[in-house]
Amino acid sequence: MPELKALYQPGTLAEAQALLEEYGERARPLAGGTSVALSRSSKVDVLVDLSRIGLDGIRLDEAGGLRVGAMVTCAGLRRFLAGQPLAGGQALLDAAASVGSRILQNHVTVGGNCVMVYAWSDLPVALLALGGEFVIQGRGARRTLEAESLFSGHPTRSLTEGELLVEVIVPPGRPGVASAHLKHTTNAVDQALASASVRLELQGGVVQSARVVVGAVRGLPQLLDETSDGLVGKEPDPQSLALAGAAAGREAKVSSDFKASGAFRIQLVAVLVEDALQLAVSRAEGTGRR
Amino acid sequence: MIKLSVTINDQPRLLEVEPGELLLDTLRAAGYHGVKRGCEAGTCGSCVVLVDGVPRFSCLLLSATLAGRKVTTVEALGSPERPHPIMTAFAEEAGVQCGYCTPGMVLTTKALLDENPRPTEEEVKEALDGHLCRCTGYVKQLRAVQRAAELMSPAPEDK
Repeated sequence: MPELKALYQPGTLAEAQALLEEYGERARPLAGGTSVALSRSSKVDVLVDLSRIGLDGIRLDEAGGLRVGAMVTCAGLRRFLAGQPLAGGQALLDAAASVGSRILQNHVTVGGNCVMVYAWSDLPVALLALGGEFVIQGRGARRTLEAESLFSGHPTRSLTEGELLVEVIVPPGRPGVASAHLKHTTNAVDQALASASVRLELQGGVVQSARVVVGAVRGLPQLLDETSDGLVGKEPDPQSLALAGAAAGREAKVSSDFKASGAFRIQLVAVLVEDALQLAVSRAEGTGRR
Repeated sequence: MIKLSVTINDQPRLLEVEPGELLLDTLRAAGYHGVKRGCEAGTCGSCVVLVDGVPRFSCLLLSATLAGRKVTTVEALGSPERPHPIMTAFAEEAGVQCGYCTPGMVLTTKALLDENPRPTEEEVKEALDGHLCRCTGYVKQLRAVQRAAELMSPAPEDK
């Protein structure tokens, strides 16, 4: 925890932005608090709590897409999606349900997990696979960034002073679309050594489009274009999915650290991508666990 | 210092807290020693309290953000002389050894049974996800939660 001089609890978004602008680099927005509580930053001595400015709404819009306020917790997201499934968006429920422990899911927010993305974060991987969009509110101006853009560098560098992520939008899938998110950890509450989210569109038993994303292997989530494109036009039989897993292992950029070697992470990527594809296919065909 | 108006165990309290003070530290300084200091990283569950009825890691919560909230510690549930049925169940099923993880588990059990009086074993496992026990393992705690459910909400065949 940084040595704090002040903690503000604004009642509106505009007040929060004014405070963040006033204190500049000294201030940091406070969402679920898990990053801040573990931070040792000496620059930050002011926190602006975002818990009371109305960013905790969640709903399906008229088109069936999901709109999630940035302060919705993983537990809130999980409960909502369990009751009102997002068409083709099973990967998001998988990811929300796999963040840390059930109790940690009462802390971690959707916005915080995305803006403060760590290598092992789950929601950014799923949102990149699902083509999520991120609504950024500045002082007066509002803009929307696609997931590819937000996660092309660390999201905090995409936000200018006073800008806040306020909402995440996930488009609905058409019939035949399904997705899945899987990860590997050494125990139930550890950070992932590798994760994979996939989104597939099947028509007539053939893959029409695919998005294969891996996370936790090096820095930010990676959309694997070659692996994704390689699935299009194929029947999703076990051999195709195994080849896609192997292709993902070759395409993903991985790191070695004290928890796992790069070679092991490549193997994990291959297995996780193949398994996630298989799960998505079974969901698309209505034969797998939802 | 920030003046904090908060309800702890159904008692309104006015506390003075530092901006960066963690709820774990505030509660222990105020005498609620059932809140245990563990990993201080949101992993072990020893420090769990209920905030507005929801299990939260007090080692990750800044006290100053809790104005107007209701905080429940294990002291609110019962005492050795007048134990809560959940406490009785943990004792009867030997779900306690050193006891360090127990207050958090008891509170999470309270939150679970308030929402779902007769959980399945799978639902109990999911609810206790986030609590680590280094003594007994977990089977006895799972039995204890099921026993607590019976004590608090007897099914017709249990009566």
